[in-house]
Formats: sequence, structure tokens, C-alpha cells
Amino acid sequence: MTTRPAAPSSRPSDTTPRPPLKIHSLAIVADRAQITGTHPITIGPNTIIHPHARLRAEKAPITIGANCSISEKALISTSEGPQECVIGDGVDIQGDAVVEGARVGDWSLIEVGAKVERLSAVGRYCKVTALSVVLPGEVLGDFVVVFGEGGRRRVDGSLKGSEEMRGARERGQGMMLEVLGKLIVDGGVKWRGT
Amino acid sequence: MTTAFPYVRYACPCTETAAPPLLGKRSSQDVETEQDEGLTFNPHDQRANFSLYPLDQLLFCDECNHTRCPKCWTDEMIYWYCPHCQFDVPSSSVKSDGNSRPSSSSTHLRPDGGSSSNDSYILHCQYCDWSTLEIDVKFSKPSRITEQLQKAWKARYGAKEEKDEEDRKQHESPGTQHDATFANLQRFYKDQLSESGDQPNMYSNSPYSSPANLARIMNLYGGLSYNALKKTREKPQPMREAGGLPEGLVTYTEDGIPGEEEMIEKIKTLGLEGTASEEQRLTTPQNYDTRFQDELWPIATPLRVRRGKRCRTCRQFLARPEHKVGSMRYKIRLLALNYVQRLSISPLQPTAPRQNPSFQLRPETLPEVKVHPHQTQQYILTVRNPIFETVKVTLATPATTPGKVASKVTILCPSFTVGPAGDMWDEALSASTTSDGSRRAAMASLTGSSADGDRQPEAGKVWERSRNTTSVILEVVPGAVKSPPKIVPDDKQEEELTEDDDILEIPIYVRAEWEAVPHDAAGHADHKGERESREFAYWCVLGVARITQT
Amino acid sequence: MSSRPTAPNRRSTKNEYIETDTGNKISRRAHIEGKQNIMLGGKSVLMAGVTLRGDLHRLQEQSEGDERSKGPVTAINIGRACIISTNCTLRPPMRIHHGTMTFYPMRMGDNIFIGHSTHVSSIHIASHVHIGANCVLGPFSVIKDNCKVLPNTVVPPHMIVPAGSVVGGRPARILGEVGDGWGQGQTGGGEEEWVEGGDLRGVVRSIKG
Repeated sequence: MTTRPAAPSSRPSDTTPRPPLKIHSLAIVADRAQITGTHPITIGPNTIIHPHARLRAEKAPITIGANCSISEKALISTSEGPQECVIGDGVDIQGDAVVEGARVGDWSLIEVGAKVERLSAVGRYCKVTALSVVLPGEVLGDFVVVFGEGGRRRVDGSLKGSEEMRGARERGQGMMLEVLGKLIVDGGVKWRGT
Repeated sequence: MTTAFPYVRYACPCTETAAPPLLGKRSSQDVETEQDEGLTFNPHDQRANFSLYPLDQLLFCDECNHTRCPKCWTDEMIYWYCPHCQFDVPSSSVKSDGNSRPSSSSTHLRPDGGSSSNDSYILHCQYCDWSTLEIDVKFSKPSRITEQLQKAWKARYGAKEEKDEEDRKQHESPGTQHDATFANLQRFYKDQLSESGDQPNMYSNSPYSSPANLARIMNLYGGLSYNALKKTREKPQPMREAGGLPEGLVTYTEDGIPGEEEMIEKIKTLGLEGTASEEQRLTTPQNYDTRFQDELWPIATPLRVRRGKRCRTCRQFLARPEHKVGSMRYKIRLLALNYVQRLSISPLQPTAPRQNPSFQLRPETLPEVKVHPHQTQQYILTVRNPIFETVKVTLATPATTPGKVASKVTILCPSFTVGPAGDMWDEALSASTTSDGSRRAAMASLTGSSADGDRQPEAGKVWERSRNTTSVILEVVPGAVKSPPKIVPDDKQEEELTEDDDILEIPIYVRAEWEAVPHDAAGHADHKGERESREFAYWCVLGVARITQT
Repeated sequence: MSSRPTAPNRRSTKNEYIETDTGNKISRRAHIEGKQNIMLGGKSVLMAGVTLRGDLHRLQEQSEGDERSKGPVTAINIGRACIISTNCTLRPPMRIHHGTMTFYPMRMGDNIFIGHSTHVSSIHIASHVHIGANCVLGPFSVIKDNCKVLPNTVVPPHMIVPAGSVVGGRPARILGEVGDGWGQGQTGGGEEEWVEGGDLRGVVRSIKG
């Protein structure tokens, strides 16, 4: 662990109530992740929650599937309404992304700074590029890419058409999780209780 | 990009001299010629926007003793390079192969090795995940992509060219015959040029304006052959334009384009986003014909050019970068920053600490700088001198600012000197002799005398002086943004205030005079001690603040 | 880090910044993981909320016996007089190399200004670069010397921004070139004198905490 001076005021997990957590034994939740709220949070096997990632189950439960990666400063929250947040398997949510009360399909990629607003649904194998916004209530089908300045959406033919490309994405996600598993230390007792 | 207040813009003098002098129709007609001093620079003029530049964008020609703005310098190509792999391309191959890198691909596309067994490669966009799989193109090796792309295109669309040879007249589809048509057009123009008029050669001094003309006239009058006599009868034809397909002209016909019905159906499903935009279609001839995005063809990366700048009048290099790709060093760099006095303006009593908008460290909005009409504001105008001579600066500004909102401006000390810029050592060693504000403040605090804040600006005196800067006070009374309603409505006063008319902008005419040691032809300073007086004058605009409505 | 923190300032018990002996200023509210893998050149500033993922480094091949006998492996290398504004993230990029996924070290030059809330995953940023606020620099992007990245730009992965360009947009496109006077004109005076691409030591000095 590091020996830098602590900043005690910025650790909400110490003071705010911890939600009921159901973390799989094979998942890795970093010690410095921030998990707050009252509703249950479920985390599937092989998923990695990076340090400084934020999970806030304030008004509804959060479910995170297997083989996911929630990067630093990402925000998965249900603080605006009673909508559950369900994240499928193999989803990569990168830094500073915001998923608020929405569903994200399997193997999708939410890039840096993207926002998935309330009540929306992202399909499988989608990609929301950096700083893009999925509007509230919007439903994206499978294989959709959200990109560009005007908020363009398009159907990704390569992923759709090629089994190989999909396999490549799944394998890439797997390799990333493997490496991260060696580098990120689980919070251990902190999140799992005894 | 919003510019923050206050800002200073410089008007390059080229705008005044560019217009030809007004000539009267009769010699007795008295025409006012534009004089520098006579005509006030109106920063609210619509054309002013195009002549005002921040000082760091201007270069300086020391031969002409003139600032050079982007309108009065010419670009010169130093080298071409690929933005992707930073290789520079020799100019000979740019001219023959055209402006694109033969073996690289569009900026965001990258050759991606598929992990398939037959080891094929695809181009894959790292941003939107488009790949050549969507147009069914795969590559056998990751190099020489452009060649492979060309082959693939010819294989797919080029076959149509041969088939349509006979049907050319009916199915006029330019895309498939682009190269042939272009060749026709080029040949046609070459013929026209040689048949008809000749371009005058500006470099020759001959009164016959070109060697071809000369030859022609000599043929007319010198030869007695059949051909020569025939030529005397024929008048040179004026150049005409291409007339049909053999000459390279392709016209749009109203006849149904094949497949139009399917296109309309396709638009109904895809919508406007599915069509290719004008920009996308014009990138390469292969895309001229495409109507939809899924028909677009990837293009090779266009090369970028590293440019040097030359003065338009004296052809001297103003900025000449090194020939090495990726190096940002310059062999010659004559920046206006190093020759022209830099003005800056700041309020005398600052209400809030000034923040530099380019260096915003936190996500806060910058406070808006506003002034109220009819409230006197005082500003410190600082002049910094970059050259190594003492400069006598004279400032002039119209008493009221031009434009729809008239504000009163007074410069308390319009004429003063600014010291020379020196090295760091000069500053350190001569710290005792120059008196700058900090030292005075230190002395004042020691002796307990009144602080600087009680100082009153006095007319005719400089506010502060340091080694190479001098500050004077500027008093401004902003005018009213809306003129008070008149009892008798006057149509002329009903002009709407357009955007940015409520910005308080002060035009200042700056004249700097200094004595320079003239350099003789060999570049050595003249040691005889003769100092010639030089001066440089220009208009400056100080953007101070926005005037509020009330 | 490469240098030790000095004794705390006597003026106040809790400064915003810890100042190291090489002149680096690191905010107490910065989130730094794996600080032994992070190298700072002198006089750089890491402001509040900055996240540095020094824990994402290349995994060394473990030799038999000595597991950690080799020194710390650098994940992030920052040059002199760099300013990383509030809430930025620096995360080393990763890719598949010879069959395994590895993280690569990030290398940054001198006098780099990174605006607030940007997310940097580039493999290399050269000197005198000015990056605006809210940008995203994708993994393995390369920003060469004297560039300007406008605010809210998204630089896609693997993009190489040539020296002296101005890039902006989503995805980032080369919009133009910086002027010939890039970085010039700074006189070391007050705050108004700071110039994009210039020497940032004056800015570093003015950041107080």
C-alpha cells in the first residue's frame, strides 16, 4: 500500500452506510473503490472494480455481470429514480463514464466520459465513444456505435457480420481482466465482511 | 473561442496601402487621399475584423520596416510529410504521384491483423469501429495499402468501364470513366492553349510580350510560305470551352439514372444520415458518384505541408522552419513580438484578480468583465519595448470612440519614452539605478509613507516606469448603449445595435520613434556613430469590456 | 515518486500541496496509485482530484527466486514544469503484444499544460504542448512537439498528432498549425503574461497551496 498522507474527508465509504453487497469470490473490488447507498449491489465473477470507481445504489439496486471492468472515477448510480441499473457480462466502463439507472447489454463498451442517462438501454456489443451521451429513455439496439459531434449513431457492420470480430472483443476483454487481476489488489475484508 | 477581456489587437498597415489611391476624374478635382492620421480606425467596422490581429500572429519584415499579417505574406512550401508516419516525401514524388502517401491510410484507419487463419488484414477505424469488412475488402499484407485499395476498386467498379464503351453516349456516368474523361479534357485544353492566345511572359522585356507572339508576327510578315500566308488570313481563335464528351465535357442528363428507384427506397430507410455528404464525396474521384455512406471508398492520407513565410513586397523570409520533419525550430524567425511595442491594459483598481483564460485550472466560468455607462473607469496602459533602443512613443486616440456607442477616452500622458530591453544581466546589475514600482513600494513601506493605492493619476505624467516598460493612465467614460428616446422620432437613430457593438473598443494610433545604428550592406554595424532615426506607426485596438445596458 | 516530501510548512498545518525537494507540487487531494512507479521531473504540479494509475505497469517476468528484486517499473514519466490541472486522469495504455496484454509506460515531456478534467492515455506527449479542458486522449496516441489540443477534443487511439498542429473535434482532426510565435512572448511577468506553449515555471510558481 502507499504511504502518502491520507485525505480523510474524501472517503464516503467510511462514513456513509454501506449497502448490502453480494460480491462473487472471483471478483476484485479495489480497496479504494467507493461504494455507497442502501440498495443491494451484486457483482459477478471475474469483474474488476478499479480504485476510485463509484457505485451508488441510492434508490434502486445495481447488478453488475461477469467479466466486467469498472474503471476509476466511473459512476454507476441509481440516485435519480427507482430504475435499476443492470450491467451485463463483459462490459467495459471506462473512466469518468456515468451510467445512471440504465441497462447495458453484454460486451458493450462505454468509453471515457460517456453518459448513459436514465431509463435508456444499450444493446449488446455496442460502443458509446468518449464524451458521447445516450439520451434518457433511448433504446439502442445491438451493435450500435454512438459517436461524433452531433451524436450520430450507426450500426457496426463489422461486429454484426463477423463472428471473428466479436470473438476478438471478448478475448480482449478477458486478457485485460487477467492482467488487471494481477495488478489490482482486492479490498478483501473491507467489502466482504468477515 | 471566446477572447477574454481585455485584449489588444494590432492592425497591420497593409490594409491602408492596399487600396489604390483615389484618382479624380479631372485634374482639377480635389480628391482627399487617405492619410494615416486623417482617417480614424473604426474597430466596429465590418472590415476591421479582418485586419486586426493579436501581436503573436504577426511577423515583422525588417527590410520594409513593416509588420506582416497573413494577408501580406506568401507561403512557401518547405517540405511535404505524412501526418501519420512523419516521413517526409521528396517534392519530386509529390508532383508526380499526387498529394497522398502511397502506402498509408486515412488518419483514423489502421491496418488490423485479423486473427483469421488466412492472415488477412483489414483497415479498421479506431474511433467509430468502421472497417473494410463493411465494404468486403481485405488486404493480404499491411503495407502498400493504397495500391491494394486501388486494385480492389478497379476489380469491383473498373470492370464497368470496359463494358460501357459502346453505351457511352447513353449512359453518361462520369465516375466510371473519370480518368478517360480527364485525359480528354486535359488534351483539349492543351490544344486550345497552343492554338489561340498566348500568355504574356512577365519576365521578358520584349515588346512583343512572348516568344510565341514574336514568332507568330515574324511568321506573318517574314515568311512567304503557304502556311505563313494562311495564318495571316486566319484570326487567332479565342479560347473556347469543351463541347462534348470527346473533349472532356460531361453533362447531367435528365434521363433516368439507372437504379434511381432503388436509391429512393434506400433513402427512405436510411434517412439523411445514411447519405454521403458533399465533403465526403469530393475527397476523391472514386467517391464522386456515391450517394450513400455505405458506398464510400477509403482514401489515402493527404500529405501535409510545412510552410515558410515570405514578405510579399521584398521576398525576404520572415519565418523559415528547419528542413527536418517534426522539428519545430526555425532558421529565420522574425516575430512582430520582437520588434513592435506590446501594449496591454488592466484596470487601475482591479475588482477581481485577472485570470488567464488559456490556463484555467478549475472548471469555473470566467467572470464577465463589464462596465457601466457614464461611470469613469481608469486603466493602466503598459507599453513594453522589445528592441534594444530607447523608444519614444506617441499615442493618439479620437476623443470619442467611433461606432454606435460613443465613449470618451482620454490618455493622460500621450507622449513618453520606454527604455530598451536588455539581457537578464543588465537587469540584475542595474537594479540600483532603475526605480521600479516594487522597490518604491518597499521603501514606502519601510518609511511608513502612504501606500501606492492613494496615488492619483496626474495628467502629463507617466504612472510607472521600469526597465523596458512604461505605464500611463487611460480614462474612459463608457457611452450609453441605447441612445435615449427622442421626442421627435428620428429615423436615423433607429439603427439596431448589432452584435458586439456594445463592446468598448478603443482605437489607438501608436507612433514609435527610435534611433538605430544603420547596418551597411555587409551587415556590420556602422561604427562611425551615425544613428538614423526610425519610426513605425500603426493602429491598435484595445478591447476593454462590455458595456451594460443600464 | 522519485523525490521525498519535505517537512510540512510551518505556516499552516494542512497545505493543499506537498512540495518535494525537486520542486514538484502534489496536491493532497490527488489520487495516486502506485506512486513508486511514477517519475516526476522537477517543478511539476499535480492538482486536486488528479488520478494517476501508476499501478498499471508492465508486468516483469518473474525470475526464479527473487520476485521483486528488480527496481520499480515506471508506469508514468512526467517531465519538468508540467501542469496537470484538477480532476485529470493519467492512465497507461494497454494492448496485446506477442499474445499477452501488457501496459506500456507513458512518457511526457516538459512544459506541458493539461487542462482540467482531461483523460490522458497517450503513450507519448512531447514538450511545449497545450491541452485544453475536458479532452480525451485515447490509448497509444502520440502528441508531438508544440501542439495545441482544443478543449473537448477526443483523440482516437493510435492517432499521431504531427508537431505544431492544432487538433480539435470528435474524432480529433488537424484543424491548422500553431503560429510561428508559439511559446514566445512570455516575459515572466504576472499572470497576464503566460503564453500557451511557453515556459510554465512561472505558472507553477504561482500555484499556491
